[in-house]
Amino acid sequence: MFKKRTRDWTLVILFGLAAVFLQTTPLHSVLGDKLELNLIFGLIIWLAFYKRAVDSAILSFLLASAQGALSGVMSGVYLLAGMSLYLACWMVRDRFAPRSASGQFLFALAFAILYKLVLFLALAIFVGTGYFRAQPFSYVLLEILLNAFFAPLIFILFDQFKGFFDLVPDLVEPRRG
Amino acid sequence: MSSPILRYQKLILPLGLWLFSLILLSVQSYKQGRIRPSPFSRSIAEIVSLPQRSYGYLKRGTIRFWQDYVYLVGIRRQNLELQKQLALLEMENQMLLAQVRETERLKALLNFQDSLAFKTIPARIIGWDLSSYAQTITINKGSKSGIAPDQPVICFQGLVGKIVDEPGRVLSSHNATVLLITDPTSRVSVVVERTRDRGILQGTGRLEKMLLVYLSSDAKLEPGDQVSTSGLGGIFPPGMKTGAILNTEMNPFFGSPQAWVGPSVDFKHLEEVLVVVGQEKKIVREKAAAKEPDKNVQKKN
Repeated sequence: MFKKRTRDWTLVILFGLAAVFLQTTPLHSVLGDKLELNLIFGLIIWLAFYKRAVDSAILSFLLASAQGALSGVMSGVYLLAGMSLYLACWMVRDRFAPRSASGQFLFALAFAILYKLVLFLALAIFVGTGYFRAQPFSYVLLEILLNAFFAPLIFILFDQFKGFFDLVPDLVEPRRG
Repeated sequence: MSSPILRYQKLILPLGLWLFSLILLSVQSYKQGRIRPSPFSRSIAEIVSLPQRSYGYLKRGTIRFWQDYVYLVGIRRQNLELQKQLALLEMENQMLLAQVRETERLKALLNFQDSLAFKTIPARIIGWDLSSYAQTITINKGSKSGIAPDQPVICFQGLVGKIVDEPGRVLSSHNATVLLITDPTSRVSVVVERTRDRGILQGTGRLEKMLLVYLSSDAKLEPGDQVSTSGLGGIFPPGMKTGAILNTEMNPFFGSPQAWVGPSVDFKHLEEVLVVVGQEKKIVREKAAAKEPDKNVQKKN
């Protein structure tokens, strides 16, 4: 059990670090400075849905912190947005379980909008409204769609890993109450 | 029936961490500019800088390989059909030209470095921020090379930005974050060279234009007027080129003039920069020269 958990943590942390590297270097070269393909966004949703509360909460916190560390804006903005996303997903995980690709896309789209809203609010309240001019509205919409499209791909990727590393999802764990 | 504590016990950790992140952000916001990145942030920056450097080397190597070999093999094949000897010469010529271009670029940087009155450290760009709001870059030199917060960063085209060390913008031992002058939080005290009007140049989050504000009400600026640093504020040395006026307008809220400025630096194609780490060489020399006569006088006495 401990061995499985360690493998699980290692895999998620390694993927998180790889995501941060990809976002700061090759993806930036391809997408430019106005679009942000957020790989950690998909990973946090996956964690909230398929992992036990303690592990997923701590891992999401670490991933959001890592993202904040290299975000270029005040690191807490991305941490708060990441944790808000996690909390929202975690609270609805027993009520929804989208299995089809289109269902997962729509689900991720709703959370991508929420994530962006929290980011905007956090920037406006804690940093300043100067950042609003940085990204044109058309790019905001495009970014939401892009992240909603890629998030289900991360679920698929981790489902493959699940088979390879024998990472059984904890969704089967009985809920109290 | 389970108690409410048992029912909601699983919510305690996620909610607690969310509250903690909110408190952390509030503290960061309250202590803006006075707080340094956590060891965790520095470690992340250190870890990520390793693949970033490797990626940089790999990218440059691939481009060089493509330009110097693969691309030329195509030309060579084409030319062989026409004239074998000419193709070989062409290939040699192209290879030399590519080398000359690179040498010229590096020579220009070196000449610029020598012409400067400051002590500088050359650095390569290895990464960018992952946010679509910020305008920061990561360079391959850190505190071990003598890089410190607030040091100006320049290139031969003009002012690039300054070194920062804040949460989310980390300065570690092997790499550093540069806040570009186009970032929305960037403020630079500048002067318009032709009219000597002073103002504050603020970033807009767009690489192609910045906003010049706090101009005097009688400022008469024209498109093309050069804007350079004033030296006020103590971070950026005076006379550094920052850009040229694009157009002027009245601020709709305050009724004061403001101007859009196009940066002198081509940020989209920036690869190498210089970090100003020392004070002016001229000043050092002048001080040294000023001390010499005193010594002579003392000796005579």
